[in-house]
Amino acid sequence: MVDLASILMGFQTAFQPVNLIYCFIGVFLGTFVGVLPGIGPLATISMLLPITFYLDPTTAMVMLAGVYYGSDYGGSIASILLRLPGGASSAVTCLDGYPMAQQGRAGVALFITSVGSFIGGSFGIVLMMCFAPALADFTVAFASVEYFALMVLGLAASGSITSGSPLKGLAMVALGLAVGCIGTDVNSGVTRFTFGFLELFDGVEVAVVAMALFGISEVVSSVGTPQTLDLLKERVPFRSMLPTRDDVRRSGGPILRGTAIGSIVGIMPGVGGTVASLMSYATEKRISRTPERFGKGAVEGVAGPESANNASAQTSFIPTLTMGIPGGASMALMLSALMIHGIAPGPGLMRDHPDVFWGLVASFWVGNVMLLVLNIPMIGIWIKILKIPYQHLFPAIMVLLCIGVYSLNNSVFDLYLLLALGLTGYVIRLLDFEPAPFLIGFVLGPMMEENFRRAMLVAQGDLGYFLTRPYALAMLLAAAALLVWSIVSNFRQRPMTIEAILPEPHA
Amino acid sequence: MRADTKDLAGGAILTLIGLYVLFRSLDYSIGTASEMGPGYYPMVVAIVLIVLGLLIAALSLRRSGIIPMPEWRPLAAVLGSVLIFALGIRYLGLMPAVIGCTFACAAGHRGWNPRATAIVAVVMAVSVWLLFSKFLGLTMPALIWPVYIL
Repeated sequence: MVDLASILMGFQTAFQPVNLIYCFIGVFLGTFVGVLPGIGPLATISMLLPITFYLDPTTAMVMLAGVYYGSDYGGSIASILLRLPGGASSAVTCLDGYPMAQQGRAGVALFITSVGSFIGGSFGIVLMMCFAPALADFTVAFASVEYFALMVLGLAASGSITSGSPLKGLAMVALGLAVGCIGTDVNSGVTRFTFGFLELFDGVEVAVVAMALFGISEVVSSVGTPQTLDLLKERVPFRSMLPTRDDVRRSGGPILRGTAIGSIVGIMPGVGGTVASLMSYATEKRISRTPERFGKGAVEGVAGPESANNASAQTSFIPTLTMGIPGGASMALMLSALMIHGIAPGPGLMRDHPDVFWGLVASFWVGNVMLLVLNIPMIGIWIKILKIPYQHLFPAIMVLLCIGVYSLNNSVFDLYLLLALGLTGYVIRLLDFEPAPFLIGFVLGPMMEENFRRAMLVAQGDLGYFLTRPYALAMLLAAAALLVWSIVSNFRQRPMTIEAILPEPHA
Repeated sequence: MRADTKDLAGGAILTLIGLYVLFRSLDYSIGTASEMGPGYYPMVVAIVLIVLGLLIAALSLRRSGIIPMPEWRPLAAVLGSVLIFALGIRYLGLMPAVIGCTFACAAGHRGWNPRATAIVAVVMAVSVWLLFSKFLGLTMPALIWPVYIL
């Protein structure tokens, strides 16, 4: 089952100096943007996309992946010290991490976070090494019908399992699919929805969409928020990080349960780390003998969700790399990074580019070790970054965003597109819709159309053909069940949100 | 009448976009399910979008809510900084574009300090030029007008 020779080859690739350097750059940048409020891993990955043109595909993926899981570490630092979650998935960490910091136990919270994330991440990587090849073997027999069904399932999941209203999430998926139609239809050569713009004949760059939805609109809301500088701790000495025996005893169970929850949630296509952290937090609170301690600095509330979050960050690469179905918006960007290099994600990846696959998986572990070793002594640097005045920080970010978009094609048109889509992204947020399903729909749209066409060609237009393909049928039924559930839950109780778990966030 | 105007507006916008996509896709040839024309798939997507939009709008009538006011100043500043960068890099060059972009975005902050921004703007302009133009070798002239400096 476990392919030791391949794993060894992966580590050889990951330990090449160039990959080590880019892995470090990735996790460093990731932690950096994770610490910063108002700019997340998505905007960072899309800003780095143009640079990856010049890199070897393995190196490019190693760096982008480092940004992705590094930002989880960074996000928890800001959550604990400032009650400022860098992203939705680290919002859960605020619930008990910040009260711990108020009690002078920030160091312990940070330490437990690092260890929990490391354990969760490592377990996720082991799962990946064991199951990804088997899953790839299984999906290699998939035809376009199965792929189409799989994409429908992935989209249904990414739309309906969100922290907000499932119906609105699904609507965002559909909107993303519609925007994905812009450009030349590959089969007929007809240009669709280009509004007469020559620049749109090749479609919209995914990096522009990502930077607009996650960069521009996040910067707008951050510019509007006053900077909170009431840092609880200017310095976190190493000694203050050592957990007490009681902390260790309390954290063990949550870390293991969180790892298990995160691993399972991460494998499901279309579901991201936020759900994993929320589920872990809810579980710990439910099974605790002293649930009243939660929200007041319970170490379990930090250990569980952080482990879950990082485990899911790693296992979400399984559907992305083996089936080509992204587990979340960041994974969708990773997919497009692979496609830029002409590598089709999917079951063929492991067969045709084993060096990319195994090198990447091994680099996850290298990156996690780097994060564990680096984060503890570097806490001081991250705290300093939090003190950069916003009025200098965000203009600098805007300059980098604009240059990033412009450098894609040296095109001013892309900047106007950034403007229009950025405004769209702001309206999306204002009306309480979520941009992540939009991006997933946008990336998967063209692939889904292609597979839909091929499937219906084979089926000669007969929908009954799906009944003869058991796997496709099962996936479509699962998708249908999700849709029904999401509509029913819209009529009934509120979906699972942070607000639902925490009654009143005291400021 | 009681309604969650936020969802009502959202659903209405989505329905309108869906209708637009539907009518445009009918202009392209639809084809048949077994041999789809370029309009077939957009048509399906449009129908899904319209159904979801109508559902969201319909459900919004069961509860009340309001649309939050946009934060005009940051919104104008950030979008303005993109526009200034776009025009700047087209007509004036990289450095003026960066400086204009920095100022426009900084002006979105309440109580900003123009003098400090000037320093940030110049530092950004120089370092960005060195990094992208000199080090990475992208074609972005530092100045186009009044003199051309690469």
